[in-house]
Amino acid sequence: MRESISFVLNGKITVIDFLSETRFTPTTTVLNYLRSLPGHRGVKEGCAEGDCGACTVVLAELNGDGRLTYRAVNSCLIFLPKLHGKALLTVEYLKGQNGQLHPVQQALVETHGSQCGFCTPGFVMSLYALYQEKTEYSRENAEEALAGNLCRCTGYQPILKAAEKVLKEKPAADSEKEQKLIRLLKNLPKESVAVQTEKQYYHLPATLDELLHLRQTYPQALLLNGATDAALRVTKKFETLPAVIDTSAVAELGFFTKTERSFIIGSGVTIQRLKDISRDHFPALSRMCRVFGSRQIRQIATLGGNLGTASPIGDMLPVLMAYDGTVILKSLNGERRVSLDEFVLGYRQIDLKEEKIIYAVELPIPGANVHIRTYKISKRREVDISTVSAAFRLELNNKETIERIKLVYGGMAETTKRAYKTEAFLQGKAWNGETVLAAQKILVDEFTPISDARSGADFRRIAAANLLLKFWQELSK
Amino acid sequence: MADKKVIKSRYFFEEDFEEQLAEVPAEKVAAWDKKAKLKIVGKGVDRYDAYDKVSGTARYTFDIQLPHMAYAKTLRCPYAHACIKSIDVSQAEKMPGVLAVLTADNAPKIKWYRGTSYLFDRHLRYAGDEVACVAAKSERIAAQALKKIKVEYEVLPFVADAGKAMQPDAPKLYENGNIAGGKPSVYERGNADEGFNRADVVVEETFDTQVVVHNPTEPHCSVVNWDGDKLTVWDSTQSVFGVRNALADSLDIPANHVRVIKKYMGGGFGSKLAAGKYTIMAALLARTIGRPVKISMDREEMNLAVGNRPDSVQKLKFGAKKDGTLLAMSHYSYGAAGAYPSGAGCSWPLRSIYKCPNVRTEEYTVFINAGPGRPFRAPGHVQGTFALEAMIDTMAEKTGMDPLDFRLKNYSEIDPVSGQPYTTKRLREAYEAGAKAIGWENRNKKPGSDSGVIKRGLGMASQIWWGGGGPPTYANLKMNRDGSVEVLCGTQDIGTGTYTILAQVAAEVLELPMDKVSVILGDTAVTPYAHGSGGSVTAPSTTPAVRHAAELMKEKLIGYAAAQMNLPPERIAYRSGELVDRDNPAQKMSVSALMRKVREQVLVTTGMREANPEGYAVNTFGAQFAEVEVHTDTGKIVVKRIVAAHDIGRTLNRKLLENQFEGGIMQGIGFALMEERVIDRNTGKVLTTNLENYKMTLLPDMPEIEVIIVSDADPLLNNTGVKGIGEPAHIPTAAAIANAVYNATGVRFKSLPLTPDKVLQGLYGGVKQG
Ligand SMILES: Cc1cc2nc3c(=O)[nH]c(=O)nc-3n(C[C@H](O)[C@H](O)[C@H](O)COP(=O)(O)OP(=O)(O)OC[C@H]3O[C@@H](n4cnc5c(N)ncnc54)[C@H](O)[C@@H]3O)c2cc1C
Ligand code: FES
Ligand code: FES
Repeated sequence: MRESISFVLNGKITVIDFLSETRFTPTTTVLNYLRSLPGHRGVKEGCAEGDCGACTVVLAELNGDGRLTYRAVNSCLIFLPKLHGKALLTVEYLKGQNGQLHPVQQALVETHGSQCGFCTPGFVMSLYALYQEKTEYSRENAEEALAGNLCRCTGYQPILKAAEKVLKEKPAADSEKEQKLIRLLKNLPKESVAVQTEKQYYHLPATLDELLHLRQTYPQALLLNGATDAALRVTKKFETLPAVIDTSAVAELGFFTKTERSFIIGSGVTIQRLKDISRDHFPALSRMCRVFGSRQIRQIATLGGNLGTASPIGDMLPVLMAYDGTVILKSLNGERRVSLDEFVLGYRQIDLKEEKIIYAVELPIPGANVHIRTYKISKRREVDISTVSAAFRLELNNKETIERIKLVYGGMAETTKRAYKTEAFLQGKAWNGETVLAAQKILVDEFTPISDARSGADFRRIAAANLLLKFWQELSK
Repeated sequence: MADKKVIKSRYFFEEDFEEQLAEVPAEKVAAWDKKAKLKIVGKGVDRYDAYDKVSGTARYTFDIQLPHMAYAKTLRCPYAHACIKSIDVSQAEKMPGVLAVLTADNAPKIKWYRGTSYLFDRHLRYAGDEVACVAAKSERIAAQALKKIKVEYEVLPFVADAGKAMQPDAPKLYENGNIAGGKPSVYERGNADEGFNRADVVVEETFDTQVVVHNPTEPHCSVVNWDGDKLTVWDSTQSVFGVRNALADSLDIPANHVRVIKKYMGGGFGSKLAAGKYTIMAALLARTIGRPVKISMDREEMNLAVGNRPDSVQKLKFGAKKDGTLLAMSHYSYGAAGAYPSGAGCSWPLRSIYKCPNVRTEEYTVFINAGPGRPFRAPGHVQGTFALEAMIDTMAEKTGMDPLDFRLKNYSEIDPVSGQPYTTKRLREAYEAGAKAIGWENRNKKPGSDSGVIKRGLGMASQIWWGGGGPPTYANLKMNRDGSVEVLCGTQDIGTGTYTILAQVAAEVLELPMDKVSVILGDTAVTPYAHGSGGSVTAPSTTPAVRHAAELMKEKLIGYAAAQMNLPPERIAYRSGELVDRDNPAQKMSVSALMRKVREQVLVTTGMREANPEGYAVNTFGAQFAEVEVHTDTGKIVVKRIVAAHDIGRTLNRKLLENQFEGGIMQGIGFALMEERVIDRNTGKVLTTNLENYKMTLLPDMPEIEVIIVSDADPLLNNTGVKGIGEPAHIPTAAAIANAVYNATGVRFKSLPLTPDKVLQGLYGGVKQG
């Protein structure tokens, strides 16, 4: 166990010892850290809460086969210990030795990709990660990767052109720099970190066993993984988090196994990875992951963290319920399984006894007669919290009557909720337009949603009912 | 060319005609011919500042760090309307790291908001009004110290809605009531009532638009540093001279003791046109503690306290003859200025686009308990155009005409307000080019007739704005002994590309490569005066001044060459960076050879923006066409395509120009579909204080955009033939989208933004299914 963290900053091994360091604490964000260093102020702050991408940096890590993976992330949401064992790359890293620009930068010059330029380093880093990952250019891929970068000036067209230009060019392997990075990363210590200062302790366990012990010892500590939720308490409310257990370095939570009948997905799997994992067998889940936050958020936010928030507008719960998911909880004393239908007890409350940890989610692979779709209604196409979301599951028998139906809604009540009345009405009926119209009448009054800054209650009710019609229309195509 | 004279200059800037004395060249530099083959101007050359910006080395005010710099944060009123009974800062002052606290108790009484209030006023008129300002060793300590300040408030009744604030029994923000100036601003020509009486078709409708917030990516921020009694301020501002004068006045120090510098800034859109309280507070704190101070708004403050586009309620009544001739238009509107003076009028487009003999407008600017408004990219025009162009479409439908034909029927060849001819007007060409590009013939002949769940529609809207600029604007040009050139101008590049276009113009005239020209802007100590960067006046005001300076430099070089070559100046010509004997072209010398003869000297010229032509109206025009998809099940609107066809004079740089349009259109989409400041009726507090709740357009929201320029140049206006584009780009977008939504659905949505919420309400009318 160590009290310091080690990482590579733009090609240099960097150690922060929190006991001797007075300027930074374990809950200092990477953004604030960088901006306090000389020569690293290319990274910008536009919101300090994950909504603008001005603070985008890239985390590079060694994957199993010894190559580097690159993730663009919001540095305003990342606590310093999360850098442990990784490489942090900022816009300052990209230039060549004589100051010549990297191809993504050059492309932005040629297309006039910046006006005021305050957003530009963020775009540069998002594009850089794409380029390094050798992503094929398509409008969809560009949108997927850049939706988390806000630009108030350009209208995005020149940035899109730059993306097209540079991704169509096949990257000349940046091999020397990459090789150096790989060497440095290999030599970094990976063991767990435990920092105890006067005001706070911060544990970053490396194994599940350690995590379970820590959980037992510190039942009051705040558990976090991506910390996309928790970081705001520090940056916006200026709180000090006295006790933190950061699960993000526990490799055993990042697993996924596939059996003939089901997938078991570790709670530490990021939403971005979940999107890929679920593509073939759980397409509706994959689609929901696609419209979850921005890529920068998806690459740090986790499945377990999303369930952990138990938010009534959280995007994972409805779709996982539609897939009949089961959550697996763990403690030193063993394992407990809870159906996701019963997991949420009340507003932001889940069935998770103090010592328990969300370990994984098990999803049975649906049969051919099962139709699952998800919908997310928000003001903006992407990077928006759901106003209303829905996940529907329909099982038809061979006479086209409804064998089983599950209608799960987010944003309609204080928790994610199934429309039990409407489900009961539909049960056993013929699946046709008339049935759906009749069901809509029940559905409109089944919930009593609230009006808030996002939308009015009436809208939520109309939209909820219309989504059922949409479901039917889509399936009848 | 070098002679000059002083004139009374008058041109439109943001919200009003501005009049001032200005020095102009006695003899105008001949404008570039419309067909002139220019080598650098007009080309999509790279941005002058591109390297700095993409490499991350560009330094913004937000990035400036000085030794021993302290950080300031502001305590803001938590109530919509209150009076301070007492403030106790003792706990805050005791905190380690806190350096000074400023409140109404210890700050000098500095008038603010055009004298209606003070820097620290005990009467607080909105949730966000400044109560105290703390300087500390770190921003975090300053923020924590704010929580330790104890303020006893007397909470007052508030009003957060302009309509309610106009009622006689509404809580008053000012003794004289809530209507700014106590009365409406009225404009009349002809007799509207008589026009309505004679009309075959009369339509009356009410529209409303929301408050939107500028939200530039770089927050409003300043870094201030005293050196003895001299003050240097770096400010993220659109007007270095405005800030300099506000500082000198507020602190009661001579103007020449204040230097304001702005190099790179992360956008402004009007919200940084005037000095902010924060800069003055930082200067006061810095003087007290003897250290430099940085003050920067956080995103919440950006959404509360540094400006917004006022909302509007607009009642329009139009009358026309059966054949589509507009006979009368009336416009009654009110809008919320917020708690302090700013303009909320929006009838200008209605007064000035169409030929209509009888017009009456009546506009109320109303004070409410909310953050003050500030000009926001074409103030008034964006709101006004939305309502006007919806009405025009309605009139077209009622008279059985195509919306474009209706507009052409009422096309005005002269400015209907002044009766003067335009320097240029190419709106007709814009209509034609835009209609062709969008495929206007494919719109639904009957609105809403598109079948299916997803309905498609086409719509368009016209645009008018000023954007001609004028004097006073000056630029200095320096030539160094190596032949390199510096352009100095007191304008600021707010991201729009001013550095680039000024370098282009200087390089064009002096026939130099771009990399021989450097540009220095926005520094009150070294750059000659230019106006604030707003009103789309920057390019049409500054480029002619730079061209003038460069032409003078050419003349000067000829004079020097003549002396050196022992020839009369008339014999010398300036060709491609060389001074050539006209009679014996073999005898010549390069500029650098000549400059070696001047040794250490730096040659300097001062250029001026020439006077505007007398007897002409100067306007920019355009039309935007939108194609939308309306999802009738979820209420989602997707903008598929925008065609923007505009008359903007000469194109200086095609890429910069497209970029202005794309950005303006993007903000127009935000205004049309998602941006909205929401105030909680019960508390008067803003609910949309972060970017999660205040939604702006992102890449996936963007349609395909086509920009068509129908103008070549406006040589009558100025020597570069340039008009402005920043605001024109943005004005008609929302109106065009709204008209397209009508064409798609057959339902007229009269309230912006067109959220899924409103769309479903409109389509289904309440809870019941349609
Ligand atoms: C800009 C932005 C956009 C967002 N967009 C969306 C969106 O579109 N849809 C959406 O649903 N959410 C969204 N969120 C909310 C949030 O990011 C997600 O809920 C995310 O999945 C949380 O994951 P995390 O790993 O960051 O959680 P953390 O912040 O680390 O944890 C969240 C909660 O879960 C608990 N927890 C974490 N791990 C475990 C564990 N293993 N066992 C038990 N409890 C645990 C924590 O104690 C904490 O209470 C967004 C957030 C931001 C900042
Ligand atoms: S600063 Fe806006 S996302 Fe980090
Ligand atoms: S260029 Fe100004 S925010 Fe993107």
